[in-house]
Amino acid sequence: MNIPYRDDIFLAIRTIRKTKMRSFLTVLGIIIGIVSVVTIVSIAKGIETQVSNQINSIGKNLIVIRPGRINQNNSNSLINSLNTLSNANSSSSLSQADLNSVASTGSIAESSAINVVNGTIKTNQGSFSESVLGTSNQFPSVINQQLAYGEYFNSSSTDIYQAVIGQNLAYNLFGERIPLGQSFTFHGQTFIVRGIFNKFNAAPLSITADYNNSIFIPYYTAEALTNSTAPINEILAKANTNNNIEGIVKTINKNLLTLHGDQQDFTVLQQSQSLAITTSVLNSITYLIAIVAGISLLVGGVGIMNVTLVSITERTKEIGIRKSIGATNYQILIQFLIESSVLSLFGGLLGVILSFLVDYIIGATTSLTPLINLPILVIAFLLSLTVGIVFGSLPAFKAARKDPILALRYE
Amino acid sequence: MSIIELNDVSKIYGFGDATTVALEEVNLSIDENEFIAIMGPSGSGKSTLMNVIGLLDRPTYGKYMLSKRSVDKIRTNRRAKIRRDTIGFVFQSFNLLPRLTVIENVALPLAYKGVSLRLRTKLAENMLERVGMDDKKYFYPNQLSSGQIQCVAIARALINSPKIIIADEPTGNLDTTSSRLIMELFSDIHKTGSTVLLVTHNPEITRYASRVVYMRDGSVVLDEKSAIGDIAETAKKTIYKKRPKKTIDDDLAGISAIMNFIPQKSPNKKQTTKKKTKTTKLGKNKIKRKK
Repeated sequence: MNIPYRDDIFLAIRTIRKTKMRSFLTVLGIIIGIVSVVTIVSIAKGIETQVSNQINSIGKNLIVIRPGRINQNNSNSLINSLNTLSNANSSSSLSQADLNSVASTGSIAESSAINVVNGTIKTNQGSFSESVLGTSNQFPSVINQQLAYGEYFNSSSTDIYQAVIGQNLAYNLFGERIPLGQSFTFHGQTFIVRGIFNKFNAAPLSITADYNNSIFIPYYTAEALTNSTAPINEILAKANTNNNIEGIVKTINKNLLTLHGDQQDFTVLQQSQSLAITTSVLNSITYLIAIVAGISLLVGGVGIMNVTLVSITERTKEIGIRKSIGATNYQILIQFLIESSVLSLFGGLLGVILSFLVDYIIGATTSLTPLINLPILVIAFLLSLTVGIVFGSLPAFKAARKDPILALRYE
Repeated sequence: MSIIELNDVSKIYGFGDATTVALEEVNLSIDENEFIAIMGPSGSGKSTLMNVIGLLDRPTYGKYMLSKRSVDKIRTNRRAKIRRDTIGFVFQSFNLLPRLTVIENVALPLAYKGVSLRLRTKLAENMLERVGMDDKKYFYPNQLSSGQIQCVAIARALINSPKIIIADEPTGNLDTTSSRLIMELFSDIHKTGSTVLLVTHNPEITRYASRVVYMRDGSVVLDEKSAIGDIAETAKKTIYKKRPKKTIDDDLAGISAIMNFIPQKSPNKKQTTKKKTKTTKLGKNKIKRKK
């Protein structure tokens, strides 16, 4: 079967160039559909990358003990994933005794509990409600994070009212980039800023607190401020080896079970697992939204079908001429299929260009870093091609089946 | 040797009470290298006959043999290919594709045949040169005069070197000068061995034909041989105005005799005449001869 594919493609491109406005309006639906799908998937991709960066920077040997029970079975299904989130946020069942138990486990090099103290911070810039976390002095080395300026508090210090802040807070709270030595008031005590963290590799939507926007105070200070009522948000423990982390996790779990009277009201996870849960929740949601966004592609496809149908009626004569000089039905079919495919690919191309723009704006204005990679581009390409072929086929079949004599007579 | 043979071919449109008989038991045998003019009033079935012969339409009854092969039961796609390779169409309304350039229009049948772009372009250029349109190859049809458009349409019909050229009133929309040029082209085609079927209302055109077929109400009513250069006897009767007397010059000019009947244009308009006639080889000869 001889088909002048190339001629059809060039002719279709020429038609688009000649009727710019009409082509643009025709493919508007495709453009919007592709932009929504690509943007959503690229945001998810960006988050996934951030999460894996975070895992890498923290280290694979970090073990996290969280209050509440996280059901890891069937975590692929969306409902379970959502349940996981709510469980993780339930009130704490961890205590000082648990921390001691974890810290005394063999193979655990360093550990730190994190408890959350609620309250308002007053600085000379005004009042703020930021999350205040009590941590041990081992915290920076447990999570593998350096301080940009100053130093972390150590247990030998007599001054218990000292703090280290996340990088984002420096300017927000004190109006300067390096507010070392500045002070703020919290729960009636005056704290001195002793250090500022490097920027954390934060993963959006992660269960852990946003460390870049947190204030860190010594664990015992937090206990003192709240009369030991501050809930322990999580216990972080760092193994001294990268091997057999799972075995260590099991040991900790067993020890804690004894302490909790065989109640599994806590979860021991490798940090990577904990982040993986976040990612799977996110993925489920993303792909659901992407499918909804894909519905606009259907609308776009119907737009293309509509315009192609009209254009086939307009070009009845052309079809008749082509048939009279020897075009087979199949060749006519292919011609119109190629035309609608080129049209929708053109829409897909505009959509991809636009989504780069949208992603740039999202990246510049939010903490998200959308990522458009090759698979996403291929998906966008295939999606628009599919829409073109699926919605172009009805008009193309109609064109191919036209009676040459009637078509020639058509004015 | 007959290239086209129609046996009791009928074509009926519509169903039940609303049927129209477009062709009624037409028997026609056409030999290779005949130049057949088909005449008849509107609605006499000329175009339907052309459509049937050109494989655009299927007869309701009857047998149609093309090159000694029955083509009645051949499937649509196969018919399209036969049409592409053996039949060239020229229409009254030209039917070039407005979105394609002249050369693309001419090369289109080759494209459907699967000829490579380079060869296609070369063949189309040669063909355009033959009809004297090679300087207009990148023009769009709407930039040409109707005579020029018809030249291009003929080039397109000839590109596959078809055995049969079917022309449905090719001069119907043209002025006399262009008509003459187009008819000279058909005459050339005929000389190279093609079979030409030409529908016309104009008795003058029958000068070019070797045989004239008259149709009425879907039937062939008269089939007469006619000498090339002469108006067919029966067709002559349809001419009402008085014709100038024939001279010896006319006989010498042969098929170009009709040119002499067209009054020369006045000298101040000569420039435009030259431009138009320049486009064909024949026109060039004519100008030379005048000098």
